[in-house]
Amino acid sequence: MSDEIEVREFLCIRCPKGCRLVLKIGEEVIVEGNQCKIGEDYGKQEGREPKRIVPTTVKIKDAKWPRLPVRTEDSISLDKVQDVMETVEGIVVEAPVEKGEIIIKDVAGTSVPIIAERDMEKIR
Amino acid sequence: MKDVVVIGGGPSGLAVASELRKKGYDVMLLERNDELGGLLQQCIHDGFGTILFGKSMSGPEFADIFISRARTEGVEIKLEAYVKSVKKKGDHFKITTVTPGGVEKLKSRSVVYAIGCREKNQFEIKIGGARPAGVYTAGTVQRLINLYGILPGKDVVILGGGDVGMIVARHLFLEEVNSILMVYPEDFFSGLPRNAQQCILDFDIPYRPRTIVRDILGDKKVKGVELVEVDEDWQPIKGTEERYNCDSVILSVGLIPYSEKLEDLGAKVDKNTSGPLVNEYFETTIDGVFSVGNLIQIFDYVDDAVKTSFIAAEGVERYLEKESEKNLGIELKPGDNVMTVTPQRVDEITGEKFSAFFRPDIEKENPKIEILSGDDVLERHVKRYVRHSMLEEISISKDILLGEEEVIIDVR
Repeated sequence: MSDEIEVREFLCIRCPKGCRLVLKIGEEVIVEGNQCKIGEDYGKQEGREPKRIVPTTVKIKDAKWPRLPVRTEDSISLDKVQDVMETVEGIVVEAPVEKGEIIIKDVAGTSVPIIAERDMEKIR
Repeated sequence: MKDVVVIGGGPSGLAVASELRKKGYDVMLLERNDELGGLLQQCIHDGFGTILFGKSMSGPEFADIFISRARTEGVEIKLEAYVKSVKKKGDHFKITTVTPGGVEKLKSRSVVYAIGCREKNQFEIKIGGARPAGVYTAGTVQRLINLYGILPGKDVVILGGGDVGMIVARHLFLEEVNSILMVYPEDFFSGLPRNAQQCILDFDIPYRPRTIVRDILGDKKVKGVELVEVDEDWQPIKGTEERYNCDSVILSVGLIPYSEKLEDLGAKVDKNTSGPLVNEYFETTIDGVFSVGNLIQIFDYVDDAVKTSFIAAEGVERYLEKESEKNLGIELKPGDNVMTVTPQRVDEITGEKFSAFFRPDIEKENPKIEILSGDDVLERHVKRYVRHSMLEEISISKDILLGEEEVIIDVR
Protein backbone atom coordinates (compact mmCIF):
# COMPACT_ATOMS: atom_id res chain seq x y z
CA MET A 1 0.00 0.00 0.00
CA SER A 2 2.89 2.33 0.65
CA ASP A 3 4.00 1.90 -2.96
CA GLU A 4 1.36 4.34 -4.08
CA ILE A 5 2.77 7.73 -4.86
CA GLU A 6 0.54 10.76 -4.91
CA VAL A 7 1.77 13.61 -7.09
CA ARG A 8 0.69 17.09 -6.12
CA GLU A 9 1.64 20.46 -7.55
CA PHE A 10 1.52 23.76 -5.76
CA LEU A 11 3.23 27.12 -5.44
CA CYS A 12 5.90 27.76 -2.87
CA ILE A 13 4.83 30.76 -0.80
CA ARG A 14 8.04 31.38 1.08
CA CYS A 15 9.36 34.12 -1.21
CA PRO A 16 8.00 36.28 -4.05
CA LYS A 17 9.50 33.94 -6.63
CA GLY A 18 6.67 31.44 -6.18
CA CYS A 19 8.38 28.26 -7.46
CA ARG A 20 6.05 25.60 -8.81
CA LEU A 21 6.75 22.65 -6.56
CA VAL A 22 5.95 19.09 -7.52
CA LEU A 23 5.49 16.80 -4.53
CA LYS A 24 5.80 13.06 -4.82
CA ILE A 25 4.19 11.75 -1.69
CA GLY A 26 4.82 8.15 -0.79
CA GLU A 27 6.48 6.92 2.34
CA GLU A 28 8.71 9.90 1.98
CA VAL A 29 7.89 13.27 0.49
CA ILE A 30 10.09 14.16 -2.48
CA VAL A 31 10.10 17.80 -3.51
CA GLU A 32 10.93 18.86 -7.06
CA GLY A 33 10.88 22.25 -8.75
CA ASN A 34 12.21 24.07 -5.71
CA GLN A 35 15.28 26.23 -6.13
CA CYS A 36 16.38 26.44 -2.54
CA LYS A 37 16.40 24.64 0.79
CA ILE A 38 13.55 26.75 2.16
CA GLY A 39 11.34 25.48 -0.65
CA GLU A 40 12.29 21.89 0.06
CA ASP A 41 11.42 22.19 3.75
CA TYR A 42 8.19 23.97 2.98
CA GLY A 43 7.29 21.37 0.36
CA LYS A 44 7.85 18.51 2.78
CA GLN A 45 5.66 20.10 5.43
CA GLU A 46 3.00 20.84 2.85
CA GLY A 47 3.24 17.26 1.57
CA ARG A 48 2.72 15.73 5.00
CA GLU A 49 -0.25 17.86 5.93
CA PRO A 50 -1.18 21.17 4.30
CA LYS A 51 -2.61 23.48 6.95
CA ARG A 52 -4.52 26.73 6.70
CA ILE A 53 -6.09 29.35 8.90
CA VAL A 54 -9.78 29.69 8.01
CA PRO A 55 -11.27 33.19 8.17
CA THR A 56 -15.02 33.68 7.90
CA THR A 57 -17.88 35.53 9.58
CA VAL A 58 -20.77 34.66 11.90
CA LYS A 59 -24.07 36.47 12.38
CA ILE A 60 -24.09 38.85 15.31
CA LYS A 61 -27.10 40.43 17.03
CA ASP A 62 -27.34 43.97 18.41
CA ALA A 63 -23.99 45.03 16.96
CA LYS A 64 -22.77 47.76 14.65
CA TRP A 65 -22.40 45.30 11.76
CA PRO A 66 -24.55 42.27 10.89
CA ARG A 67 -21.43 40.07 10.80
CA LEU A 68 -18.56 39.39 13.15
CA PRO A 69 -15.24 38.30 11.58
CA VAL A 70 -13.91 35.07 13.12
CA ARG A 71 -11.13 32.63 12.35
CA THR A 72 -9.61 29.38 13.47
CA GLU A 73 -7.18 30.24 16.25
CA ASP A 74 -4.53 28.03 14.68
CA SER A 75 -4.12 26.49 11.25
CA ILE A 76 -6.14 23.38 10.50
CA SER A 77 -5.90 20.64 7.92
CA LEU A 78 -6.75 21.91 4.43
CA ASP A 79 -9.22 19.07 3.86
CA LYS A 80 -11.15 20.16 6.97
CA VAL A 81 -11.83 23.67 5.64
CA GLN A 82 -15.27 22.84 4.24
CA ASP A 83 -16.29 21.08 7.47
CA VAL A 84 -15.28 24.16 9.43
CA MET A 85 -17.33 26.39 7.13
CA GLU A 86 -20.39 24.17 7.54
CA THR A 87 -20.08 24.15 11.32
CA VAL A 88 -19.71 27.91 11.51
CA GLU A 89 -22.66 28.54 9.24
CA GLY A 90 -25.79 29.05 11.29
CA ILE A 91 -23.93 30.24 14.39
CA VAL A 92 -25.43 33.42 15.81
CA VAL A 93 -23.70 35.35 18.58
CA GLU A 94 -24.83 38.33 20.60
CA ALA A 95 -22.92 41.56 21.13
CA PRO A 96 -20.83 42.54 22.96
CA VAL A 97 -17.97 40.34 21.83
CA GLU A 98 -14.31 40.85 22.63
CA LYS A 99 -11.38 40.23 20.32
CA GLY A 100 -10.00 36.74 20.92
CA GLU A 101 -13.23 35.50 22.53
CA ILE A 102 -13.90 31.83 21.80
CA ILE A 103 -16.97 31.40 19.60
CA ILE A 104 -16.70 27.60 19.12
CA LYS A 105 -14.48 25.55 21.43
CA ASP A 106 -13.53 22.74 19.08
CA VAL A 107 -14.56 23.28 15.50
CA ALA A 108 -15.39 20.24 13.36
CA GLY A 109 -13.31 17.86 15.47
CA THR A 110 -10.06 19.72 14.79
CA SER A 111 -9.56 20.56 18.50
CA VAL A 112 -8.92 24.13 17.33
CA PRO A 113 -11.26 26.90 18.51
CA ILE A 114 -12.94 29.58 16.42
CA ILE A 115 -12.17 33.03 17.84
CA ALA A 116 -13.48 36.55 17.27
CA GLU A 117 -11.12 38.76 15.25
CA ARG A 118 -12.31 42.01 16.80
CA ASP A 119 -14.32 43.68 19.53
CA MET A 120 -17.91 44.43 18.70
CA GLU A 121 -19.91 46.55 21.08
CA LYS A 122 -23.57 46.17 21.91
CA ILE A 123 -25.69 48.76 20.16
CA ARG A 124 -29.28 49.67 21.20
CA MET B 1 -3.51 75.35 17.55
CA LYS B 2 -2.64 71.67 17.13
CA ASP B 3 0.91 70.58 16.42
CA VAL B 4 -0.24 67.92 13.97
CA VAL B 5 -3.51 66.97 12.32
CA VAL B 6 -3.54 63.47 10.81
CA ILE B 7 -6.20 62.87 8.17
CA GLY B 8 -7.27 59.23 7.97
CA GLY B 9 -7.71 56.59 10.70
CA GLY B 10 -6.37 53.52 8.90
CA PRO B 11 -3.24 51.73 10.11
CA SER B 12 -0.81 54.29 8.64
CA GLY B 13 -2.68 57.29 10.08
CA LEU B 14 -3.00 55.64 13.49
CA ALA B 15 0.70 54.73 13.50
CA VAL B 16 1.96 58.22 12.63
CA ALA B 17 -0.44 59.85 15.11
CA SER B 18 0.70 57.51 17.91
CA GLU B 19 4.38 58.10 17.17
CA LEU B 20 3.97 61.86 17.24
CA ARG B 21 1.89 61.78 20.41
CA LYS B 22 4.61 59.65 21.99
CA LYS B 23 7.10 62.37 21.08
CA GLY B 24 4.93 64.76 23.11
CA TYR B 25 3.04 66.64 20.41
CA ASP B 26 -0.59 67.71 20.47
CA VAL B 27 -2.04 65.42 17.80
CA MET B 28 -5.56 65.22 16.40
CA LEU B 29 -6.67 62.42 14.09
CA LEU B 30 -9.67 62.94 11.79
CA GLU B 31 -11.53 59.96 10.33
CA ARG B 32 -14.51 60.30 8.01
CA ASN B 33 -15.89 56.85 8.85
CA ASP B 34 -17.57 56.01 12.17
CA GLU B 35 -14.88 53.52 13.16
CA LEU B 36 -11.10 53.29 13.01
CA GLY B 37 -8.99 50.74 11.16
CA GLY B 38 -9.71 51.74 7.57
CA LEU B 39 -9.66 49.08 4.92
CA LEU B 40 -8.33 46.44 7.34
CA GLN B 41 -11.71 46.00 9.05
CA GLN B 42 -12.97 44.24 5.93
CA CYS B 43 -9.77 42.22 5.34
CA ILE B 44 -10.67 39.33 7.61
CA HIS B 45 -8.11 36.90 6.13
CA ASP B 46 -4.75 36.34 7.78
CA GLY B 47 -1.29 37.29 6.52
CA PHE B 48 -0.89 40.75 8.08
CA GLY B 49 1.96 41.56 10.45
CA THR B 50 4.54 39.02 9.31
CA ILE B 51 7.16 41.72 8.63
CA LEU B 52 6.54 44.03 11.61
CA PHE B 53 5.49 41.53 14.27
CA GLY B 54 6.76 38.18 12.98
CA LYS B 55 3.32 36.59 13.14
CA SER B 56 0.37 36.34 10.83
CA MET B 57 -2.78 38.19 11.89
CA SER B 58 -6.11 39.12 10.34
CA GLY B 59 -6.78 42.68 9.20
CA PRO B 60 -8.97 43.61 12.20
CA GLU B 61 -6.35 42.16 14.57
CA PHE B 62 -3.55 44.14 12.92
CA ALA B 63 -5.69 47.30 12.98
CA ASP B 64 -6.49 46.78 16.67
CA ILE B 65 -2.79 47.00 17.59
CA PHE B 66 -2.63 50.50 16.15
CA ILE B 67 -6.08 51.54 17.40
CA SER B 68 -5.04 50.54 20.95
CA ARG B 69 -1.70 52.27 20.55
CA ALA B 70 -3.37 55.55 19.50
CA ARG B 71 -5.75 55.35 22.48
CA THR B 72 -2.97 54.49 24.95
CA GLU B 73 -0.79 57.33 23.71
CA GLY B 74 -3.71 59.74 24.02
CA VAL B 75 -4.22 60.79 20.42
CA GLU B 76 -7.30 63.00 20.17
CA ILE B 77 -9.59 61.17 17.73
CA LYS B 78 -12.58 62.56 15.86
CA LEU B 79 -14.77 60.11 13.98
CA GLU B 80 -17.28 61.09 11.28
CA ALA B 81 -15.15 64.11 10.49
CA TYR B 82 -14.80 64.67 6.76
CA VAL B 83 -12.08 67.10 5.80
CA LYS B 84 -13.55 69.52 3.31
CA SER B 85 -10.50 71.70 2.85
CA VAL B 86 -6.99 72.40 4.05
CA LYS B 87 -5.46 75.80 3.42
CA LYS B 88 -2.00 77.09 4.19
CA LYS B 89 -1.98 80.41 6.08
CA GLY B 90 1.55 81.64 6.73
CA ASP B 91 3.19 79.16 9.08
CA HIS B 92 0.08 77.10 9.83
CA PHE B 93 -2.85 75.32 8.21
CA LYS B 94 -6.59 75.99 8.45
CA ILE B 95 -8.63 72.82 8.27
CA THR B 96 -12.37 72.77 7.64
CA THR B 97 -14.24 69.59 8.56
CA VAL B 98 -17.84 68.53 8.12
CA THR B 99 -19.19 66.52 11.06
CA PRO B 100 -22.68 65.43 12.19
CA GLY B 101 -22.57 68.48 14.50
CA GLY B 102 -21.91 70.87 11.63
CA VAL B 103 -18.90 72.55 10.06
CA GLU B 104 -15.88 72.77 12.34
CA LYS B 105 -12.64 74.62 11.81
CA LEU B 106 -9.28 74.02 13.36
CA LYS B 107 -5.70 75.14 13.05
CA SER B 108 -2.56 73.08 12.97
CA ARG B 109 1.16 73.62 12.53
CA SER B 110 1.49 70.56 10.27
CA VAL B 111 -0.71 68.06 8.42
CA VAL B 112 -0.21 64.38 7.66
CA TYR B 113 -2.38 62.88 4.93
CA ALA B 114 -3.11 59.20 5.47
CA ILE B 115 -6.11 58.86 3.19
CA GLY B 116 -4.97 55.74 1.34
CA CYS B 117 -6.12 54.65 -2.06
CA ARG B 118 -9.23 53.77 -4.01
CA GLU B 119 -10.10 51.02 -6.44
CA LYS B 120 -10.07 51.55 -10.16
CA ASN B 121 -13.55 51.16 -11.61
CA GLN B 122 -15.17 50.03 -14.86
CA PHE B 123 -14.89 53.48 -16.37
CA GLU B 124 -11.11 53.50 -16.04
CA ILE B 125 -10.53 50.37 -18.11
CA LYS B 126 -11.76 49.60 -21.59
CA ILE B 127 -14.86 47.50 -21.11
CA GLY B 128 -18.02 47.65 -23.19
CA GLY B 129 -21.69 47.32 -22.42
CA ALA B 130 -24.55 49.21 -20.81
CA ARG B 131 -24.53 49.90 -17.09
CA PRO B 132 -26.44 46.94 -15.70
CA ALA B 133 -26.75 46.19 -11.98
CA GLY B 134 -24.35 43.50 -10.81
CA VAL B 135 -20.98 45.09 -11.56
CA TYR B 136 -18.86 45.57 -8.43
CA THR B 137 -15.30 46.37 -7.46
CA ALA B 138 -13.58 43.64 -5.45
CA GLY B 139 -13.29 45.82 -2.34
CA THR B 140 -17.02 46.51 -2.36
CA VAL B 141 -17.72 42.79 -2.51
CA GLN B 142 -15.28 42.15 0.32
CA ARG B 143 -17.14 44.72 2.39
CA LEU B 144 -20.56 43.29 1.51
CA ILE B 145 -19.55 39.75 2.45
CA ASN B 146 -17.47 40.41 5.53
CA LEU B 147 -19.37 43.21 7.22
CA TYR B 148 -22.93 42.68 5.96
CA GLY B 149 -23.02 38.98 5.08
CA ILE B 150 -24.38 39.72 1.61
CA LEU B 151 -23.22 37.89 -1.53
CA PRO B 152 -23.05 39.85 -4.79
CA GLY B 153 -24.60 37.11 -6.91
CA LYS B 154 -24.61 33.40 -7.58
CA ASP B 155 -22.59 33.08 -10.77
CA VAL B 156 -19.61 35.32 -10.63
CA VAL B 157 -16.90 36.42 -13.06
CA ILE B 158 -13.87 38.12 -11.55
CA LEU B 159 -11.73 40.27 -13.83
CA GLY B 160 -8.15 40.67 -12.62
CA GLY B 161 -5.69 38.27 -11.02
CA GLY B 162 -4.43 40.56 -8.25
CA ASP B 163 -4.51 39.96 -4.51
CA VAL B 164 -7.90 41.48 -3.71
CA GLY B 165 -9.59 39.53 -6.52
CA MET B 166 -8.07 36.25 -5.35
CA ILE B 167 -9.02 36.83 -1.72
CA VAL B 168 -12.58 37.68 -2.72
CA ALA B 169 -12.71 34.54 -4.89
CA ARG B 170 -11.89 32.41 -1.85
CA HIS B 171 -14.57 34.09 0.28
CA LEU B 172 -17.13 33.52 -2.48
CA PHE B 173 -16.07 29.90 -2.87
CA LEU B 174 -16.30 29.21 0.85
CA GLU B 175 -19.70 30.93 0.97
CA GLU B 176 -20.76 28.48 -1.72
CA VAL B 177 -21.82 30.54 -4.71
CA ASN B 178 -22.77 28.41 -7.74
CA SER B 179 -19.88 29.28 -9.99
CA ILE B 180 -16.77 31.43 -10.08
CA LEU B 181 -14.51 32.16 -13.03
CA MET B 182 -11.45 34.36 -12.71
CA VAL B 183 -9.95 35.87 -15.85
CA TYR B 184 -6.91 38.10 -16.26
CA PRO B 185 -4.69 39.31 -19.13
CA GLU B 186 -1.33 38.27 -17.62
CA ASP B 187 0.02 34.75 -18.14
CA PHE B 188 -0.25 34.06 -14.42
CA PHE B 189 -1.83 35.64 -11.32
CA SER B 190 -0.28 39.05 -10.73
CA GLY B 191 -0.72 38.95 -6.93
CA LEU B 192 1.38 37.20 -4.31
CA PRO B 193 2.11 33.47 -4.79
CA ARG B 194 0.72 32.97 -1.31
CA ASN B 195 -2.70 34.15 -2.44
CA ALA B 196 -2.56 32.27 -5.75
CA GLN B 197 -1.97 29.05 -3.83
CA GLN B 198 -4.14 29.54 -0.75
CA CYS B 199 -7.08 31.31 -2.39
CA ILE B 200 -7.34 29.82 -5.88
CA LEU B 201 -5.31 26.63 -6.30
CA ASP B 202 -6.23 25.16 -2.88
CA PHE B 203 -9.88 25.08 -3.95
CA ASP B 204 -9.50 24.47 -7.70
CA ILE B 205 -11.29 27.69 -8.50
CA PRO B 206 -11.42 27.97 -12.32
CA TYR B 207 -9.24 30.65 -13.91
CA ARG B 208 -8.25 31.66 -17.41
CA PRO B 209 -5.00 33.55 -17.99
CA ARG B 210 -4.62 35.79 -21.08
CA THR B 211 -8.36 36.42 -21.10
CA ILE B 212 -10.33 39.60 -20.50
CA VAL B 213 -13.93 40.69 -20.28
CA ARG B 214 -14.60 42.70 -23.43
CA ASP B 215 -18.28 43.38 -22.91
CA ILE B 216 -20.66 43.17 -20.02
CA LEU B 217 -23.97 41.83 -21.34
CA GLY B 218 -27.43 42.79 -20.09
CA ASP B 219 -29.35 46.07 -19.92
CA LYS B 220 -30.85 46.20 -16.44
CA LYS B 221 -29.04 43.30 -14.83
CA VAL B 222 -25.86 41.49 -15.76
CA LYS B 223 -26.72 38.48 -17.94
CA GLY B 224 -23.23 37.46 -18.90
CA VAL B 225 -19.97 38.65 -20.32
CA GLU B 226 -18.18 38.41 -23.61
CA LEU B 227 -14.76 36.96 -22.93
CA VAL B 228 -11.91 37.24 -25.36
CA GLU B 229 -8.39 35.84 -25.29
CA VAL B 230 -5.50 38.30 -25.52
CA ASP B 231 -1.93 38.10 -26.75
CA GLU B 232 1.23 39.06 -24.86
CA ASP B 233 0.50 42.74 -25.45
CA TRP B 234 -3.01 42.24 -24.07
CA GLN B 235 -4.51 42.73 -27.53
CA PRO B 236 -7.71 40.72 -28.22
CA ILE B 237 -7.27 37.72 -30.52
CA LYS B 238 -9.97 37.65 -33.19
CA GLY B 239 -12.15 34.57 -33.27
CA THR B 240 -11.70 33.75 -29.59
CA GLU B 241 -14.77 35.66 -28.41
CA GLU B 242 -17.02 33.62 -26.19
CA ARG B 243 -20.27 34.35 -24.37
CA TYR B 244 -20.21 33.29 -20.73
CA ASN B 245 -23.30 33.47 -18.54
CA CYS B 246 -23.09 35.07 -15.11
CA ASP B 247 -25.14 37.36 -12.89
CA SER B 248 -22.35 39.48 -11.52
CA VAL B 249 -18.97 40.85 -12.54
CA ILE B 250 -16.31 41.76 -10.01
CA LEU B 251 -13.50 44.06 -11.05
CA SER B 252 -10.15 43.69 -9.38
CA VAL B 253 -8.20 45.92 -11.70
CA GLY B 254 -5.91 47.81 -9.39
CA LEU B 255 -5.68 50.46 -6.73
CA ILE B 256 -4.72 54.10 -7.11
CA PRO B 257 -3.56 56.59 -4.45
CA TYR B 258 -6.27 59.03 -3.49
CA SER B 259 -4.15 62.10 -4.19
CA GLU B 260 -6.77 64.54 -5.50
CA LYS B 261 -7.07 66.16 -2.06
CA LEU B 262 -3.36 66.88 -1.96
CA GLU B 263 -3.49 68.31 -5.47
CA ASP B 264 -6.22 70.70 -4.32
CA LEU B 265 -3.71 72.00 -1.79
CA GLY B 266 -1.13 72.45 -4.56
CA ALA B 267 1.05 69.38 -3.96
CA LYS B 268 2.70 67.87 -7.01
CA VAL B 269 1.91 64.31 -8.02
CA ASP B 270 4.16 61.63 -9.54
CA LYS B 271 2.72 60.27 -12.78
CA ASN B 272 4.36 56.89 -12.12
CA THR B 273 2.98 56.23 -8.64
CA SER B 274 -0.08 58.53 -8.91
CA GLY B 275 0.84 59.55 -5.36
CA PRO B 276 2.38 62.84 -4.23
CA LEU B 277 6.05 63.60 -4.86
CA VAL B 278 7.76 63.12 -1.50
CA ASN B 279 11.19 63.44 0.08
CA GLU B 280 12.94 60.87 2.28
CA TYR B 281 10.69 61.82 5.24
CA PHE B 282 7.60 61.56 3.03
CA GLU B 283 7.08 65.31 3.07
CA THR B 284 5.19 66.47 -0.03
CA THR B 285 6.19 69.45 -2.17
CA ILE B 286 4.44 71.66 0.41
CA ASP B 287 6.45 72.38 3.57
CA GLY B 288 4.76 70.89 6.63
CA VAL B 289 2.47 68.57 4.65
CA PHE B 290 3.38 64.89 4.83
CA SER B 291 1.83 61.72 3.44
CA VAL B 292 1.98 58.12 4.66
CA GLY B 293 0.84 54.63 3.66
CA ASN B 294 -0.98 53.75 0.47
CA LEU B 295 -1.41 57.40 -0.43
CA ILE B 296 2.31 57.52 -1.31
CA GLN B 297 2.05 54.47 -3.56
CA ILE B 298 0.32 51.11 -3.37
CA PHE B 299 2.17 48.83 -0.96
CA ASP B 300 1.97 45.04 -1.28
CA TYR B 301 2.09 44.62 2.51
CA VAL B 302 0.41 46.77 5.14
CA ASP B 303 3.55 46.27 7.23
CA ASP B 304 5.56 48.24 4.67
CA ALA B 305 2.86 50.90 4.40
CA VAL B 306 3.04 51.42 8.16
CA LYS B 307 6.85 51.72 8.04
CA THR B 308 6.37 55.00 6.19
CA SER B 309 4.51 56.31 9.24
CA PHE B 310 7.51 55.83 11.51
CA ILE B 311 9.76 57.61 9.01
CA ALA B 312 7.27 60.43 8.46
CA ALA B 313 6.94 60.92 12.23
CA GLU B 314 10.67 61.71 12.34
CA GLY B 315 10.18 64.17 9.51
CA VAL B 316 7.24 65.91 11.19
CA GLU B 317 9.28 66.23 14.38
CA ARG B 318 12.16 67.77 12.45
CA TYR B 319 9.74 70.16 10.77
CA LEU B 320 8.08 71.20 14.04
CA GLU B 321 11.45 71.66 15.75
CA LYS B 322 12.68 73.61 12.72
CA GLU B 323 15.55 71.18 12.35
CA SER B 324 14.90 70.43 8.68
CA GLU B 325 17.72 71.54 6.45
CA LYS B 326 16.47 71.10 2.93
CA ASN B 327 19.64 71.81 1.06
CA LEU B 328 20.07 68.84 -1.25
CA GLY B 329 17.05 68.50 -3.53
CA ILE B 330 18.44 65.43 -5.30
CA GLU B 331 15.98 63.72 -7.60
CA LEU B 332 15.53 59.95 -7.54
CA LYS B 333 14.19 58.45 -10.76
CA PRO B 334 13.22 55.03 -12.10
CA GLY B 335 15.72 53.70 -14.65
CA ASP B 336 15.99 50.43 -16.56
CA ASN B 337 13.43 47.82 -15.57
CA VAL B 338 11.96 50.00 -12.85
CA MET B 339 8.43 51.42 -12.93
CA THR B 340 8.27 53.55 -9.78
CA VAL B 341 10.58 54.95 -7.12
CA THR B 342 9.71 56.58 -3.80
CA PRO B 343 10.84 58.89 -2.35
CA GLN B 344 11.29 60.92 -5.52
CA ARG B 345 13.75 63.33 -3.91
CA VAL B 346 16.26 63.53 -1.08
CA ASP B 347 16.28 66.86 0.73
CA GLU B 348 18.45 66.53 3.81
CA ILE B 349 22.05 65.56 4.52
CA THR B 350 21.17 64.44 8.04
CA GLY B 351 20.90 60.70 8.58
CA GLU B 352 23.21 58.01 7.27
CA LYS B 353 20.71 56.08 5.21
CA PHE B 354 17.15 56.29 3.98
CA SER B 355 14.58 53.78 2.75
CA ALA B 356 13.70 53.74 -0.92
CA PHE B 357 10.95 51.65 -2.44
CA PHE B 358 10.94 50.63 -6.09
CA ARG B 359 8.71 48.51 -8.27
CA PRO B 360 10.58 46.45 -10.89
CA ASP B 361 9.00 45.44 -14.17
CA ILE B 362 11.27 42.46 -14.61
CA GLU B 363 11.50 39.01 -13.07
CA LYS B 364 15.06 38.05 -12.22
CA GLU B 365 17.18 35.94 -9.93
CA ASN B 366 20.03 37.67 -8.04
CA PRO B 367 19.51 40.98 -9.84
CA LYS B 368 21.89 43.88 -9.44
CA ILE B 369 20.20 47.00 -8.18
CA GLU B 370 22.31 50.00 -9.07
CA ILE B 371 22.13 53.60 -7.95
CA LEU B 372 23.49 55.53 -10.91
CA SER B 373 24.59 59.04 -11.67
CA GLY B 374 24.84 59.09 -15.44
CA ASP B 375 26.87 55.95 -16.12
CA ASP B 376 28.65 55.94 -12.74
CA VAL B 377 27.51 53.33 -10.27
CA LEU B 378 27.28 55.05 -6.88
CA GLU B 379 26.04 52.06 -4.93
CA ARG B 380 25.06 48.50 -5.68
CA HIS B 381 22.48 46.41 -3.85
CA VAL B 382 21.61 42.76 -4.18
CA LYS B 383 18.30 40.98 -3.87
CA ARG B 384 17.70 37.27 -4.05
CA TYR B 385 14.85 37.61 -6.47
CA VAL B 386 12.67 40.36 -7.88
CA ARG B 387 9.35 39.84 -9.50
CA HIS B 388 7.38 42.00 -11.94
CA SER B 389 5.41 44.68 -10.06
CA MET B 390 6.34 43.43 -6.62
CA LEU B 391 7.53 46.28 -4.44
CA GLU B 392 11.10 46.16 -3.10
CA GLU B 393 12.84 48.21 -0.42
CA ILE B 394 16.51 49.19 -0.25
CA SER B 395 18.43 51.32 2.20
CA ILE B 396 20.50 53.92 0.34
CA SER B 397 23.52 55.69 1.88
CA LYS B 398 23.16 59.45 1.86
CA ASP B 399 26.84 60.29 1.50
CA ILE B 400 27.04 58.74 -1.98
CA LEU B 401 24.46 61.26 -3.18
CA LEU B 402 26.32 64.42 -2.21
CA GLY B 403 27.01 66.68 -5.14
CA GLU B 404 24.53 64.88 -7.40
CA GLU B 405 21.46 66.46 -8.92
CA GLU B 406 19.70 63.40 -10.19
CA VAL B 407 20.26 59.70 -9.58
CA ILE B 408 18.60 56.71 -11.18
CA ILE B 409 17.70 53.27 -9.85
CA ASP B 410 18.28 50.43 -12.33
CA VAL B 411 17.60 46.73 -12.02
CA ARG B 412 19.74 44.49 -14.22
